Amino acid sequence: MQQLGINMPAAVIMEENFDKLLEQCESQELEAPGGIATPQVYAQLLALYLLHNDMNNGRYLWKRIPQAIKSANPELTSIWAVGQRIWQRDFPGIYTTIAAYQWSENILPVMEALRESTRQRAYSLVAQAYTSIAADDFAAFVGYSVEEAVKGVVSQGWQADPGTRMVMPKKPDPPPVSLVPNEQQLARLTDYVAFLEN
Amino acid sequence: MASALEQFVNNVRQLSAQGQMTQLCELINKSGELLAKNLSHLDTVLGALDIQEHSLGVLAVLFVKFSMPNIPDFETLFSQVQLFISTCNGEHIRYATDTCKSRLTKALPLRGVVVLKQAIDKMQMNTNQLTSVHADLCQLCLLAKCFKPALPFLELDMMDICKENGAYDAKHFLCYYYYGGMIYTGLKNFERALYFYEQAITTPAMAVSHIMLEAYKKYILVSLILHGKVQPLPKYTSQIVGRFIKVRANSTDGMSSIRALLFSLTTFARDSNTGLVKQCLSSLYKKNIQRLTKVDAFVCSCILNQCFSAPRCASVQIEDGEIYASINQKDGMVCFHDNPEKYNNPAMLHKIDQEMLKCIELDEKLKSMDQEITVNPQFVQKVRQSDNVYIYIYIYNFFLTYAWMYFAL
Repeated sequence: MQQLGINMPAAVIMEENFDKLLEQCESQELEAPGGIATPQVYAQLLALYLLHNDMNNGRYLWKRIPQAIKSANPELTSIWAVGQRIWQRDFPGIYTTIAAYQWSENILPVMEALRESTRQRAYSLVAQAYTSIAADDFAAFVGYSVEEAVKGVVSQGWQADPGTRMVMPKKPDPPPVSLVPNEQQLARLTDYVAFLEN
Repeated sequence: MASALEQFVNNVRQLSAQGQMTQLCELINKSGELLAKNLSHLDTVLGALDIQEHSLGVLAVLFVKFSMPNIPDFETLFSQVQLFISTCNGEHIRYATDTCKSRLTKALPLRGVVVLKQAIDKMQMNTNQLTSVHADLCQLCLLAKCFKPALPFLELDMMDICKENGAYDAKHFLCYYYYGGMIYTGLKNFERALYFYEQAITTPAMAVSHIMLEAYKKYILVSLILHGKVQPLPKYTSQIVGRFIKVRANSTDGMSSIRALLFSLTTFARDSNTGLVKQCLSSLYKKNIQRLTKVDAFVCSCILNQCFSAPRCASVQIEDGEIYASINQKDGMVCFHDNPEKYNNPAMLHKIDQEMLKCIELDEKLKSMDQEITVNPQFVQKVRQSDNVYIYIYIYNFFLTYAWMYFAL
């Protein structure tokens, strides 16, 4: 059962890898002969844009992929189907579309990371926006069955009422802010006063 | 004929060695026809000139090759151009801007992007300098539907314009801001897009420009999407805009109603702005919900869905941070909150720090610009020449307006 908190080091390393991969794919596309890259590059690039929730760049990438490559590569079309679900914020649809296709080796880790990040988004959205939500809707948001979903959040401190089948989310704690040391603050304030006096 | 070519090569070599750029430019401009007549020998000419030392000469030859009606071997020519741009001498090409950049847009916009980025790096004296190639880069990115390469250039604030031996035209300036605005609109960064369109519209002008007209139309639409109303233009907009462009844009007094928008859909469709108009419509729904937050504390969620025919719109807006609300499914109500930001935490202080630093930097920049102008001999001469105090005030006013534009960031 997935915890709500992330295991920090592993996730950070994965994120860096994906960022580097994204940059590599982008430069490969720009330098490709004839202006058209291989379908693998397009597939990876599109999946990575979806992972970063960068729908604008993803949409334009889809527009510039030539029609021939789109029709010859069903995987590319399935990645775009996931993208369409994300664009319409259809959370249940995202999970079903990801599960519906047999992803290739390159794309599989990206899709799994995408599913996880969508789940995290769903959790934080529900926590922020809802004071009470029906258990079925909640399960649809996070892509688990009702029992699993409720069990997971109860362990995080949310309340669940089996009678009315409602889940009461707890507001998330605000992230800790880094504090500036006092000497630096004083130096800055001195600069401001000097600037304003002149 | 060959001897004329040989003479051309010798002249190029001589003038490049002596560093007489302006004369070299003139020679090249005159030799255009000569080169065009000897297309078959151009490759030998290319071989005789060194890219680094005789950059301008090579540039002229490449330009003529591109001007041919049909180019037999595009790939070789393209790689020659690539090689040229990566190894040429920046000093030399800064003097000539009749480059083949426009030819690259014909076949393969995406490949031209990398080449143009290198060209910009070569031509700029510092990273905040605007060149004529910037506008072309933005245009290529739009044609290729790939916006990321242009973003690093768009995000920098331009402080200076590359002179390019007098060949830099207002068109390049306007195009840069118009295309830049379109790129930001495509990426849905509406604030920055609005700023860019405003830059294009508020350029000092004495005559109407189509670019300004199109920028004005997009300015209206983006302003509606972002703010729900058309923002008034700043005071330093030239009068041309008020007198001619607003009339020709033929728009928007009744734009805040949905019906008026739908009605004007046809007008805007002519200028292929349909996408933006549809976005205006959806943003109007969002604005209505936002207005509702100020009026009511609780709203029944079914009424919300009915009135605004926007299913799940509220949760979308909450996620985007546009409204502060919580949905209570048990009672079927949506409860609106005030902005929870109390402005009393370190994060806010940090933000204020950043803004102050920007203001301080801007002030220093303005001071240095002021100094540059006051010691400019032409300015001093003008001030001395006529004892007329009004000219001094006029020039200083002009400078202040210029400074105001930057300050109004």
